[in-house]
Amino acid sequence: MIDVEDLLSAELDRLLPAVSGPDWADVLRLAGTSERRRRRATLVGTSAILAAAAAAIVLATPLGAAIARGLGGFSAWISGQPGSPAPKAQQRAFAHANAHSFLGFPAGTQLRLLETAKAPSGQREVQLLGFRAGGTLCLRIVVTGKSRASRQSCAPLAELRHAGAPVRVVIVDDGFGQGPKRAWYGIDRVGAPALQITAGITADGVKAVTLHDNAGTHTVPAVSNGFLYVAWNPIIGQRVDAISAHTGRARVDVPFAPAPWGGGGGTGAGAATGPTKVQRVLRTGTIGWLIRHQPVGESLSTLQGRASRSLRNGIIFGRLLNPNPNIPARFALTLSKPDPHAPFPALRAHGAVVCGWTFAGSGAGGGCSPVKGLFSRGPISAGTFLANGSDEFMLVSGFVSDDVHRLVAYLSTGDTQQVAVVHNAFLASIARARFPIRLVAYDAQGRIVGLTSPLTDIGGGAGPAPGRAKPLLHVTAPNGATATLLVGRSNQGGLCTYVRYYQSRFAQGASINCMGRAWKGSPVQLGGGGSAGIWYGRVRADVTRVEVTFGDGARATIHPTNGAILYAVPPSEAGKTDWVRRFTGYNAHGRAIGSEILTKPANP
Amino acid sequence: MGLRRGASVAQLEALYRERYERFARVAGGMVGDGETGRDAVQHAFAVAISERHTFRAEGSLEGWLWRIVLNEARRMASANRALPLNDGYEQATNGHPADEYGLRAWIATLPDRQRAVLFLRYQADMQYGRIAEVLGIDVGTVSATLSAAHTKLRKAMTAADR
Repeated sequence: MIDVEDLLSAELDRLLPAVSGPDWADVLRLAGTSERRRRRATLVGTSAILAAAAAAIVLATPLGAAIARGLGGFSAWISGQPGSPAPKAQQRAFAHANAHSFLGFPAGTQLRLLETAKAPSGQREVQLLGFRAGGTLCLRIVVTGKSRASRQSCAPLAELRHAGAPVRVVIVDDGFGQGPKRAWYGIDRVGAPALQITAGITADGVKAVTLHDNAGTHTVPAVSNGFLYVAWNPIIGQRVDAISAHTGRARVDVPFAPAPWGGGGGTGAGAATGPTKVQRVLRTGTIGWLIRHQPVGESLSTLQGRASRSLRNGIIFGRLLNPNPNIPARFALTLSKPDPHAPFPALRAHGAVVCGWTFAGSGAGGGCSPVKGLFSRGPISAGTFLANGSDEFMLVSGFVSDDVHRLVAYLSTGDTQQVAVVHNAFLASIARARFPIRLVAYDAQGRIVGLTSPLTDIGGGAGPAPGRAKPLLHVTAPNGATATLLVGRSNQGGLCTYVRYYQSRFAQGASINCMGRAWKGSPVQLGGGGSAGIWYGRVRADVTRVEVTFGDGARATIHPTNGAILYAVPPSEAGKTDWVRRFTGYNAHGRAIGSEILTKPANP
Repeated sequence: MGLRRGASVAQLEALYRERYERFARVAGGMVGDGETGRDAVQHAFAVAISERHTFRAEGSLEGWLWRIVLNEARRMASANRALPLNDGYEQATNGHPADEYGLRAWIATLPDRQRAVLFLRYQADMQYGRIAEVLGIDVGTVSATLSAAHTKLRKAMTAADR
């Protein structure tokens, strides 16, 4: 016989969700709205009743009445009824794509048409559609005509519960099609899109939205609780940098994160909030179900696409998890064999690794860590994921050890957001304008057991200026790897250095480092290493030579070229462990003025 | 001397802040979705502010508020399609299978009053007397209703254990 009372108590505690916290100001706002609405209703004349008939159908239902008192004026979105029904063709295309995606929304999700815009040339048309699916609000852009594409971007419904402006920006400067403008930026020849779209959702009282970008100031109407700004034929790198909402009585600045461009963009220098001290230090931890091979969640066979195939390479055991059904994304946790081609020795040296992968949109991202010492730095392993640089909402995902009972995101705007954790995995969608954020983990007794360093928005630094970067240095390492260093101007008056690196088809790529006019940080800034032993970076203008100290005590001298360094360790040092211990920079008087000390072996 | 009438906004706010989590969890259980349940609480307190002058001190203020919250939750639940209890949204279960007894689905099938009694008992930690006050029923009815819910859920759990 089952003791139902005890089980029910425990099970309901476990099953019922943690919801957003209390918000008395929201209650007062709702109460004020409903009182005003009632007073107004007594004054409405017969002629107005006919005009308001359509709205009354919604308001006449209990839910409609509740919705009408909605969250800060976003009532149409809460009810899922903004705008008008979408054209049948769009609804069919959406339903078809939705049915074929493992990240799809519930069948029967109805699109709503918010607004349309036509290019002055008449060659292209943009439709702004929207829908609510559970706790998610999404905008869908459909471009037809000479360019044909569709894309959607979503925001969590919970975002509307945070205090904020009467406009929530969802998409910023999303490019579609190919425009005629082309230019070199560093090592890339980039082209402007045919059009760029910025869109968002608006509260009931918003009349218009004003945006500023490189092409000037633009005011667009707020229609159907949304706004749509299309920059036709934009210049390269054109970016919206300010948005404000007009309510008829006031203008309100709207916080948002500009779309990144060449390393720039992103949110400003906000500060992370929340606790900064752990109350119970954890240096060990595990993920019980993963180690025990318990089949929680879904099979990995649910996954689709190329990323899923690479995830399944070398897998010992893994499952697909859905920590937050309000977000169209999944998180996969696997126990895998180490990848023999992994770029980092630690991932090749250990017996097994734990990998965490986030799947959202058509992309995936993740990484692996050795099982041994998995939680040696704390019980949270977190990262950020942005499927598209124009998305205003960024995924924060990762996994925690079994010790973690609750996870909370502390936002730079001073409020908090509960982060759902299921089977050690977590997923949250947070407005980039609320970054940097800090994740705080609590144990079952409510003690803080883990903190992340502030997780920051993407971009925010210097980026490449127009112009093609020029090759400056080239090296070949003893193992055959090659690297070329190129230099170009940065958009903040300094320089950008680019390093193109090739070792094998598994280990190749390019790195970019841009600086402003003023030098920041250590006079010697070098990075790289790896199995090829190629080091690169920049030194301050007064550094005339750099001395390398190897692990065996041998030394070598490097002479910077225009402040840049590209260096491959000599054959005599190749293959040794702990190749490089220190780089020391000297000025023209022979005085040491800066160094880069490598505290851990940087090479195998 | 007549009963004192009305409640102040400050009294409502104090109870809101003190009992928010319980209100939200019970409402969430009633409507089958945490965020909608939260909506119900917010709207219920907005209604309570508007109607505070109608409160008569015949019972407790908290009992009066619970009735409004449950009414709002019922309205929202009836306007929504019947959903399993927050389908697919699981609390942190680190390492343990979630909802192994399939409780969500079973709770969703319970009659409205049984659900209300269940959540008030286990999520708001209310004694039978208080539940009776909130629902406007006899204590004996509370006991019988809870017993009926237990019987159904025990059956569900026994089946899941086989």
